[in-house]
Amino acid sequence: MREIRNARIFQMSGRAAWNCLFAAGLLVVFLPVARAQQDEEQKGIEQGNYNIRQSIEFGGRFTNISGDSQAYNSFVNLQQGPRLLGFTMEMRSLDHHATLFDRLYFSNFGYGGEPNLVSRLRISKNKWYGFDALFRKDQNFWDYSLQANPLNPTAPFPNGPAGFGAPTCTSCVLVESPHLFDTRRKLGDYNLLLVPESRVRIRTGYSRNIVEGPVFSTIHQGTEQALFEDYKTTVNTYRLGVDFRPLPRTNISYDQIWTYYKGDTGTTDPNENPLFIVAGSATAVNPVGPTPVDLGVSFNAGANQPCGSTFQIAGAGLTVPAGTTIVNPACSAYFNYFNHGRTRTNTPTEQLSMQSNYWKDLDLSGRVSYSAGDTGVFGYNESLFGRESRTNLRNQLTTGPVSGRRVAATADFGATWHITEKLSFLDSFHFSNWHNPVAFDSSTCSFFSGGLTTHANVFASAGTLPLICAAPADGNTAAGATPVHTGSSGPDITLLNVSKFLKQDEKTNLAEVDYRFSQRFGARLGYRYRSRTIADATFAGGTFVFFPNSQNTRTPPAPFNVDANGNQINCPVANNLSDGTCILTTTFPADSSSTPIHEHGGLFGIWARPTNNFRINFDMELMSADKSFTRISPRQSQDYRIRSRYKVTDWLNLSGSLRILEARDNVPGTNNLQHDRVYGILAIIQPNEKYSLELGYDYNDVFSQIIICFVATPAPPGTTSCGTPFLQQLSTYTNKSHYGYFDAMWTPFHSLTARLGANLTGTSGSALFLNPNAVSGPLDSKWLHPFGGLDYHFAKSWTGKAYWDFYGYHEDPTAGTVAGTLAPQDAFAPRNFRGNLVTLSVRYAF
Amino acid sequence: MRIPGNPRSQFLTILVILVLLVMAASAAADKTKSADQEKKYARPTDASLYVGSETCKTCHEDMPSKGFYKTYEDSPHFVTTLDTKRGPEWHGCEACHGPGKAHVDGGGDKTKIFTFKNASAAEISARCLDCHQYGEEHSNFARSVHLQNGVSCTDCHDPHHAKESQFLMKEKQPVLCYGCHQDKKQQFNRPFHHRVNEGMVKCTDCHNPHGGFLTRQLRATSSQDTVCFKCHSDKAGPFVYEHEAVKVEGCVACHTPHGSSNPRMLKRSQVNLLCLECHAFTVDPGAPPIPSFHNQAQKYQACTMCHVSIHGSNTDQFFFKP
Repeated sequence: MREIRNARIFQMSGRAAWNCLFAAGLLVVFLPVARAQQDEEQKGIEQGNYNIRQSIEFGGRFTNISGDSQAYNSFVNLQQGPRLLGFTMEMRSLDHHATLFDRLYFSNFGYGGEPNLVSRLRISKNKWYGFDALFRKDQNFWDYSLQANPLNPTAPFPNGPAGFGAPTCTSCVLVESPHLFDTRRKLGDYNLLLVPESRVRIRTGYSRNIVEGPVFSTIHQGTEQALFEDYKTTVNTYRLGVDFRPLPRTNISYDQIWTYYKGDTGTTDPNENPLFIVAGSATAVNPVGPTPVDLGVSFNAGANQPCGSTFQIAGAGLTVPAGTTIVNPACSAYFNYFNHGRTRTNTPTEQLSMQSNYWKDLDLSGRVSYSAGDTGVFGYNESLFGRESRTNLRNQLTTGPVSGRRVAATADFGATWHITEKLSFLDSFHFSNWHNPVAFDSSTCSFFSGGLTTHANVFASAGTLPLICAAPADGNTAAGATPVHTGSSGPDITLLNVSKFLKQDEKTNLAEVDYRFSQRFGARLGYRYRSRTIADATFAGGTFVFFPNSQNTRTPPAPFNVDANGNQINCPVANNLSDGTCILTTTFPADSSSTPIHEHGGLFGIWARPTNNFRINFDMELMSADKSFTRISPRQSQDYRIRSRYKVTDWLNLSGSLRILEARDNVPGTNNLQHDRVYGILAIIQPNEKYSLELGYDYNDVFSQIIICFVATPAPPGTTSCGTPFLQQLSTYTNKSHYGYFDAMWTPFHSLTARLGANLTGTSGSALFLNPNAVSGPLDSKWLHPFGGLDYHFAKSWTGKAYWDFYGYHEDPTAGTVAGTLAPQDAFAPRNFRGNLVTLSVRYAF
Repeated sequence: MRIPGNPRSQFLTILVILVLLVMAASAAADKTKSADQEKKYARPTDASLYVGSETCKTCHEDMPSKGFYKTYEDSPHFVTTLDTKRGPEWHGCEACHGPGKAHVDGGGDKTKIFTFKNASAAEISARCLDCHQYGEEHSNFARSVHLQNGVSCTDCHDPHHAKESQFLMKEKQPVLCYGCHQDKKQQFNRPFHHRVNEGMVKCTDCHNPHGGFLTRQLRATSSQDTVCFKCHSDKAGPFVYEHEAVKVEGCVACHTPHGSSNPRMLKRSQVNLLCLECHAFTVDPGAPPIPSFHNQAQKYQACTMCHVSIHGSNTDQFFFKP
């Protein structure tokens, strides 16, 4: 993937980019076109009954990127090449009575290879229709190497192949995220409104959301094998609605909405991971190898990952020449893997809403909606071929349907009672109830062997089995062969029915009194009550077939392998057939819980406009709950906000804002405290049309502490036991960001405008590092985006533009480390980059 | 920041203080009733009070600015002058500014006509909503946080001098929103952010600035699910094995939706620390603690390396598979 991406990024040298910028400047300054007077406004042309205004901006971008281009593509992804940077067309009927439409607006940007592309079309004819279309497409590339990274150390593997052996396992360090992806999202939204001004109007709409593209992933099966997903999801939404106006100042709407989700992602093991050779005995009946295997992404020699003695030197008698580096056949590894199923979720929704000002002192609005949809996974098929060393699993095939429902009912009601000219009472009530009962009826055939170079023994049972499993192609079907199990091996045949249920019932009421003391000052006081009940349940049962050996000591798959008392479920000897096969049919104890939570909140807010030039508002909400659903959900919180704007003079505007959120779940054993504080100031200086300067600064302080329990060897300092082998520590996280920005504009003469600005963010912080190879990463970073450019109006309707942008990302690799040392992830795969972009374009507007 | 006592007494104390403050301020407030203060806008229906837009044009063709009336003629509001079914109170300039005869007779006396410049947010909004309230988009503005903070329609829309022809906006998004919501600008300028500054996503895709029934004026999907699922539909489920926090507390339990210094806009810089905050021994029954073999000093720094389908899975209770 990296090669593909790098090939795509044809970059100019820095000198070439600067030469282009310089040439563009010369072109603009010395262009022999008379500098026409700049048209004060885009008047458009009149043709027929329309005034038409258009503008088009086209040009190209040149890039010069150094450092981690994958990180650049993840953050910015603006590449080199010609571009349609923007197009706008507006048509307006001169007499507001044209034949087909009175107004048309079409705009787009991003065509030609930009990561973000948007097109919008609006057409309307006053009394007849309004049509609105929006299409968006974005390219999402992601390869931030710390994501899903096992942070492998560089300790060499004995007998390791090049890059994995002594002196340093440089290839162990993953320079790419195992979860790299390069997807495209296409969002289309189309709405048509018919007879918008009549008493009955009709609305129709269609939306489409597609996400597709290559995705890399991992699967945990003994070790973490790297997988490839051909990712594709599609959502189609169809809407039909009608609005009635049965009474003056009253509207009733009814909508039917149908949403259809399709998930068609398939997963395979592409063997793109570094491949290693496994080889079996050349004299065996069915020799194995030399065969490439995927050992996964975790390489930690000191921790025996992916296994102890991972690499070996082949001796004589194998299917590879003696002296070849081969994989320990006891390792967990994959030869291949496949997973696919078609997910379909179909959600019809009915909605009735109303709004009325019929009564003079009362505003009413309400909405009731009901969704009851089906979900299912069809044709589910998961097959793996390889080895899971813990269980000796070699081949496994799982199939089975998923079926379920999502039922959601909501009701909302809002009222404003204007008691006097100054005093109002507001009430908002929200009810929501949803529940998701979903079941998976799986059938699994498992075959076991003693190592990667040993084929699975296929047991020919004499009994009547609930499922006939086809033997794997390389299986040993010799008479009397019994599977090679371990004590942890699961059943040879599993029919498991799991039905789960999740539900939330929520009611919220907000009552507020709003008082307007004067035209310039008002306040409100409110009380919010929220009641939630979250319930879940699990029901499971199944039939399990255990072939010899250990058929009476192995268990169904966890967590369905224990009874109500926590004792392990085994297949009783009494169930054994004559050939030793044991069949167990059982129902597991149901598991259910219900969590009621009650929240009380007080709200207060004031706003003031002491003069026309100054406005300020303050609002706060204090919340207290009797319980929290997660340990980080607050039981108490205080949220304060202040926003103000002051126009000091005609040329100076000042703004300031403050937001302080304090939250806590400080019960014993959790001790969670959090805050998120943001302070900001902004000045806009515009003494005249020639100069303007916007200057701002924000400071954000995020803090969290919570007691966590974990296992770590060696134990980090400052830990205490919370039950062997667990350790307890207060996990403290701080993140302080400084964000400064400015945007200056200077118009030295009528047809030239210069712009210079920057958005600069610096972050510093601290966190508990449990892994010795963990790096501070984004917690100590700088994200810089200075920019500047010229707009030169060189002829009537024509403007030339030359802009420069710099995107720089820098993580401090020395943060949190011993001076002079670098963690392997920082030494071998820094995420830093610097990107210079020059964009030259011409805009034509008429 | 903390007030002594238990949460309930803290809350009651603050509530009482605030009520007293409001009462005191109320007593001190100007008790004279402004002629312009209206509970709701009621259009006078007496046709003799109206003069028609052409009369307005005689003075306002180039006043207060050059081409003032022409701009209005080009705007969508001009179609009201073409209405033949309803009375003059619905036509042209006077549909918004009220009857103009007294203003004309007074030689242009500004006090004889409604001007938006000095009106309160409630008055301005009442005028606009008299036409624009119908439909779910605007139907909750009376209870919106914007109006409650003195923000009116004309703080964002400008019928006469709109910079953006679509919806007559004063400024493009997100610049317009940043004008007040400065704290969001710094979030969208973090290295990991939703593409709002890039023009791909708009503030109004997730929030309804005209108010709604949900907190933060959030929108919802058509099936009244969290708004995030509009785009991130693969996370919506339902799943056999739900990550319950996602469904119950929402995406914001783990993500900072506007932007973050942390990859995937997570609330913590390291995935394992985020997971461990919930998946630890706790006095409450909740998320299961991590198993004893998850040695954090080894490969378990990134929980999602193995638990790849962390938002929910149909086939694997540990979220190892989709």
